[in-house]
Amino acid sequence: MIDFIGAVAASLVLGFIIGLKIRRLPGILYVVLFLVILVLSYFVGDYPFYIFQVGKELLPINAVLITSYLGIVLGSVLPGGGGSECED
Amino acid sequence: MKFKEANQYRNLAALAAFLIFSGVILHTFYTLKVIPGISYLYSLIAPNIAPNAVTTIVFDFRGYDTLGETLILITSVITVSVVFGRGAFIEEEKAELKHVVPTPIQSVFGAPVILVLMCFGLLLIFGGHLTPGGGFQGGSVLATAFFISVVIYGVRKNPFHYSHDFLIGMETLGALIFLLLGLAGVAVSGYYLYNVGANIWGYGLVDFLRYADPTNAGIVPYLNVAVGLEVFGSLSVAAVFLAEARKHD
Repeated sequence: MIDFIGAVAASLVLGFIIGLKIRRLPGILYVVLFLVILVLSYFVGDYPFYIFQVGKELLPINAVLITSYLGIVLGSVLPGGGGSECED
Repeated sequence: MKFKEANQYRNLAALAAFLIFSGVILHTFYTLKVIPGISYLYSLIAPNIAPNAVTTIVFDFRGYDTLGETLILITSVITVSVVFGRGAFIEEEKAELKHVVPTPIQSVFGAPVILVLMCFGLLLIFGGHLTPGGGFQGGSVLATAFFISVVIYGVRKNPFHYSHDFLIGMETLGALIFLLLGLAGVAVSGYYLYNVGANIWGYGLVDFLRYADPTNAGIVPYLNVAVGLEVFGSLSVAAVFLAEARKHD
């Protein structure tokens, strides 16, 4: 159960919109960056109270940071942002 | 449809929007009742709306002021485009930042840093009603991330290829969300930019536009998103115009 479901959903949508114009980057970069974002979200912690709640336990991982990243990646990968080639 | 004909329809639509918006603003000012000591009342009420009282003041109590501030950004972008924007439309004369070859370090670390910065900008936007941060700061971080990409990759071969149209669309979308949320307040209470979701003054429609989190922030988070989009669009457009400006501009 996540209390801040509004921000989690909205960050996914806004991240998707912003990611629409990012060209498709190498897949390994997305994977490595996801791990980096996981570590960062642990350090960001409960700022500003966006944390996962699993049962009665609170996971000290910032949910909005992760969903923002996922939104950007989805926006970049699915529509492709104009393809993988950097062209005019 | 010919250009002149389309332009006439656009002018008519702009006139209609201007008249409606002016009418609503004038009506609100005409019916406004100034209660002495309202700021003292707000000092007590603000923490009940959102934990960050400053955001409550900026977006709820002084919503008009914030609306004006966001429109200032549009004016500044128009000014930048008028002064420096010629380079964007003249292909023959190359600007300094149109074609840039990144160094190896920039190639490796550029895109990851920019993506992380963008995530941080979004986090700032969505935490605006809870902690220091918000639309202005988050939008600035997003625009900064984009400008770093322009400095590293240039304008032409940039993987973060936000076009003029897209950025202006973001700016317009942000402004439209702000204005339409204000109209929702008129529909519910008769007051422009009334905080519909928080509904402190009890106009009945409590659950409409209530933000899905434990706070009672109402439309304040949506306004933060609107301002974030607008700041991102405005500053990025200005950055692109400056990057494409010719040396003697």
